[in-house]
Amino acid sequence: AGSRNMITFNLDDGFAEAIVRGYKSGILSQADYSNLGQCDSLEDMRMHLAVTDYGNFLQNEPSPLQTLTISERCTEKLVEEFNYLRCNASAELAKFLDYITYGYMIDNVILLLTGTLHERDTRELLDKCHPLGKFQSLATLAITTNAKDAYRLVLVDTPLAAYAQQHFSGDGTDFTELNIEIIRNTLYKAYLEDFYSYTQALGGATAEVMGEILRFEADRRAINITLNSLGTELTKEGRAELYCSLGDLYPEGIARLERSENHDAVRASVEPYTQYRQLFQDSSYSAEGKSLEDCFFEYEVKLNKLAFEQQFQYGVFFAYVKLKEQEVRNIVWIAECISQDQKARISQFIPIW
Amino acid sequence: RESSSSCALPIITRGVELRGRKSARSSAAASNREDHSFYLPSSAPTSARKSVPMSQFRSEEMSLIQLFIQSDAAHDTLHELGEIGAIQFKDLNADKSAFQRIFVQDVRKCDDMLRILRFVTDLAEKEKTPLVNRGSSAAISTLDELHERLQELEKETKNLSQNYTQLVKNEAELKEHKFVLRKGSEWFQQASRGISFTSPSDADEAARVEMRSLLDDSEAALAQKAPSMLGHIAGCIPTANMKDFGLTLFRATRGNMLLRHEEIADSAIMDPKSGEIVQKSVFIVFFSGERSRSKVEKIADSYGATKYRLPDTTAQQETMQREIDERLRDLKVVLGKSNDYRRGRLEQVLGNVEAWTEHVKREKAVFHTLNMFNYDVTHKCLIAEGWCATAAINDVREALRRGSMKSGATVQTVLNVVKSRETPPTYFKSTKLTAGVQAIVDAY
Repeated sequence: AGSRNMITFNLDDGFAEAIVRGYKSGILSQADYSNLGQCDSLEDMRMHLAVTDYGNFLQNEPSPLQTLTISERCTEKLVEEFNYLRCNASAELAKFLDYITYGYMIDNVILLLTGTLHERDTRELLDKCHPLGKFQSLATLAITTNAKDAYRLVLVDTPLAAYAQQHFSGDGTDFTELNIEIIRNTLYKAYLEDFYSYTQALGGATAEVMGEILRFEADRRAINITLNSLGTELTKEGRAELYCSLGDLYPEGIARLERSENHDAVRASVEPYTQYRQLFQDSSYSAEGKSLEDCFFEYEVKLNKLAFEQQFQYGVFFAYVKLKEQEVRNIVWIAECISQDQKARISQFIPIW
Repeated sequence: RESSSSCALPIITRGVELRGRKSARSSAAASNREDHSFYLPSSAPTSARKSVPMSQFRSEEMSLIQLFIQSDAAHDTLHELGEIGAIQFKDLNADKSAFQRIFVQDVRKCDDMLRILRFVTDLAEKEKTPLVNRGSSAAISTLDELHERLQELEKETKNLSQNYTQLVKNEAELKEHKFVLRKGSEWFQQASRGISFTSPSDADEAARVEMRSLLDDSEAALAQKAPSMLGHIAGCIPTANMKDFGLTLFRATRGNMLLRHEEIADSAIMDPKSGEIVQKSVFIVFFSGERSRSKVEKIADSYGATKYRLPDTTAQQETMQREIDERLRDLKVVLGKSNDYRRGRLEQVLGNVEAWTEHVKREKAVFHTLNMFNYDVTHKCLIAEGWCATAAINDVREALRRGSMKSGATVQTVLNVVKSRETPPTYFKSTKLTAGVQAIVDAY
């Protein structure tokens, strides 16, 4: 019975949903952010965070506090909460939560491959990996020099095998900056499409909520890929392969994006889609210099907040992880502004509630 | 006992105060209240206090009081008030955030001290040294002195611990190296006897002889020959990673390698990297070529294996074993001595740790409460507002008096009862019966 059935949802997943809603009510509010904005030092931040749901998470850190420590501890707290949910999840919910971690696994894989390309120490790279996406043979990626090896040695045992299979069975050319980016986007494309079809198969409110979120994600990636590859070596055909086959922009918007050659053409391709037209307008006419990226983040936060309006569905778990990540980004932004004495820009984070 | 009097009415507008010990309540009810004075440290006043009969079904009478405390006397007064525990203070600075309050530095100092004390207690627990509570033996120095002392303590303990862990790591490494040597030489000898490598056949006989001669050191001619064509890497790896390690090795070298491994039966092996007891296996990998060497090394690193040098010839192996044994013996002596010294230092301090922790926690509570007060700059005093049981006002006065005496302040604290229309908090005195249940509730 999983997510489809209102009557039986609570049997299996009621506890987990209650827990995640409890976590959600602990997300920092506007009042918290204004208090944090008034802090003069990281010590003050530590004091204020102790009053919030974060509690005494920094109590064992010795005195000259650093933004890196704050960032690590906040992420640790998120990982703890996620692991608690994962341990108490029913089989279906556990599968859903695992899907969430695949995205982080892809990020870690790419981090290692890029780092090894630039000859960084493997242990340093492992420290920087996101804890939600760690798996046993991650470190072995350091010895691979081309995609085929990476697939054969490491990825074939992981859940990413299915995503890597199509792309990696081909040539044995060595890694370069460009083709690592292509690999990242190919993996992510396969992951998004798989995740989308999985949530649609779950049906009911989950399909509705997650569908909306994932479609926006696919569109956002399409726009970003196009904008970032303008003027680089990536050909139009190469770019075309990286677009997902889902999202509001598919298929007409995607076709136009494929042919775009400059920023204006990109803008013209998304004209017919009101929400994206609005985002482009917001970023170009904004007073505080909001970038398109910021506008995308804001829209994502909006969609994630909406996920909590519906009950008896799995979208709340995904939305919670993303919102908490945004919160950690906000806290780190504020901490950086304080420690670098740039209080003027302190309000340029994205408020959640 | 049921109260039949009108005194059981909510006392919002009453605020009748007890003046001194000799007052008699002129209320409609004349029944005597049994004084279950659990919170009065001294014996109950014996005067004819015609007070409200206590009822378990209604709250005590509460009055809103205002205190005007001189800043110098504030700290000690609050200590005394804390002892009797009769007042619930209102937060007069509710609109200010935690770090904008007056006494925030002191709270931070207390936090830091508690952190150091926690660190020391954790260390003691790890070392399993008993935390003998010698009570507050030495006079509890002022907060600043204590802070300095604790900071020095932290530095010293950290230093000592670091050195000690370093030594222990070295010992663990040497022990692992010993195992590797022992096992490794065994495997080498097996190889030179050509037992397990190839199946007997004429074509392979030649290969076996060659293998033997590659690893054998008896002939002097060979000693001048190029080093053996087979490279090897030996080391220790946690047993949990063994299977994946083998799999990855096989894939990476396309099967052109030989892996031998065996679990270390003696379970007292500490992993030098993480400092915990881990089940480990010894392994040795034979391969050919330089590229394979770098690959195998990287794979070994990524699975958390520690590599050890294994010399080629038996004679060298034996010398190495002897060296290691000697170093282990020396290390044991050094370890023993430093451990004793460390535990000595810890034990000296540990007796006071509990008393200190309690003291610092009290100070922190005092500062938290002080943060709730209003600071009047013109008169240099703190204004506090709170609720207290009307019957306890006498004791509060006593505490205030004691506090001002202790701190030697010139101006006495003024207690002012305020008539207020606010709903007072509910307060039930615990009886002998209810105290048990209350304790359980408090515990949770």
